[in-house]
Amino acid sequence: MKNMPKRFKHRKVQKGSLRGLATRGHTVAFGDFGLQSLEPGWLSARCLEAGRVAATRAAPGARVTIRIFPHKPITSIPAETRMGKGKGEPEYWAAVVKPGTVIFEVGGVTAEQAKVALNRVAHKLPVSTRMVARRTR
Amino acid sequence: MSTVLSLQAEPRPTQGSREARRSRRAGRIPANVYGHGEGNAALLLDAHELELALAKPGNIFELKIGGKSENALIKEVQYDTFGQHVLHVDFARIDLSEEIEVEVNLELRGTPAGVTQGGNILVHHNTIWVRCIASAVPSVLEVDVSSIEIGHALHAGEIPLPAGIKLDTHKMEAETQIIGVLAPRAAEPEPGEGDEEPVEGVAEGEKAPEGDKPEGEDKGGA
Repeated sequence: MKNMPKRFKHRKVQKGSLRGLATRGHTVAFGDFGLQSLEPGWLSARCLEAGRVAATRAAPGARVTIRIFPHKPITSIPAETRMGKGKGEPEYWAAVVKPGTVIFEVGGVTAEQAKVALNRVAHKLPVSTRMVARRTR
Repeated sequence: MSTVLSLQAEPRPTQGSREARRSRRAGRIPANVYGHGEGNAALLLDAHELELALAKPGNIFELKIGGKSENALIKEVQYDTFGQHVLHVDFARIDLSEEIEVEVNLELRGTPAGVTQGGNILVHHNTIWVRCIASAVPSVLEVDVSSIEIGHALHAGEIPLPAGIKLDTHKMEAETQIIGVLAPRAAEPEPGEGDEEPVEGVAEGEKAPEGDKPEGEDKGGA
């Protein structure tokens, strides 16, 4: 599965803002344990895929859920190019993450297995994270 | 049987988000109690006392407001983004002798037989909805899952409930799957370097034509 939108309205979008905390998607919803972002950032489709592979290898049989999707096209201009002449070309797709967003979830494994798996995932991400458990109340 | 937890509360004279923030800074959590034909009452609870009470199992609280006390069922607890601090609590007034609908946590006991055979456990629901008199609300329901085989599931209607407690079929049907055991998945082929490269290549190749089409169509349509 390609980790990018199937269709989109605009090839290029503006940078947008990363201010504030997550107001949605900040609780564990599908699995038993989650990896919560503590910083804002753009998470590329490539690092999300790397995280997914790391989690499934670290905890075989676990249900791994990626809670975010790379909706945002990120452009860049080639090296050694003079400034101007318009916006660069789309390079990759990224998900916008705010502090508090639960990025990955794992279920069907013990806390120890989840800790190992989510730690491996955390090493693939450009933001600092922490492990959170599903809230019972 | 649920224990009734006691909480000291005081009426909240001020309202609004700024006042609520001030209260939280002063160690008092805003709360509301409503229902049973009486009006809503805005309350303030001690943050530390509330935190200790929420850590205990049980949904029913005895709120001591001024001189009088009333029993209330916890309806909603709002937390901050990181789930560390309670922002607000909603209580619904109840009579301990009336029948109420309440969501009770499930505690799984044992390892499913299917899991020992290599299957994967899939927990669909961590709670179930039950109807019972308020004084008999269980803090937690223990469920023995050791007999579930691969390809089988435990349904809400099959969970043994104590006397006087029945499943609330309006909120949760008896056929609702609570826990299932799935057959082990086939091992996922390990994606190497070579696998990831073509994916990126395809994505890049398709970006321009896919993006151009909708824009062109939009202009044409307008």
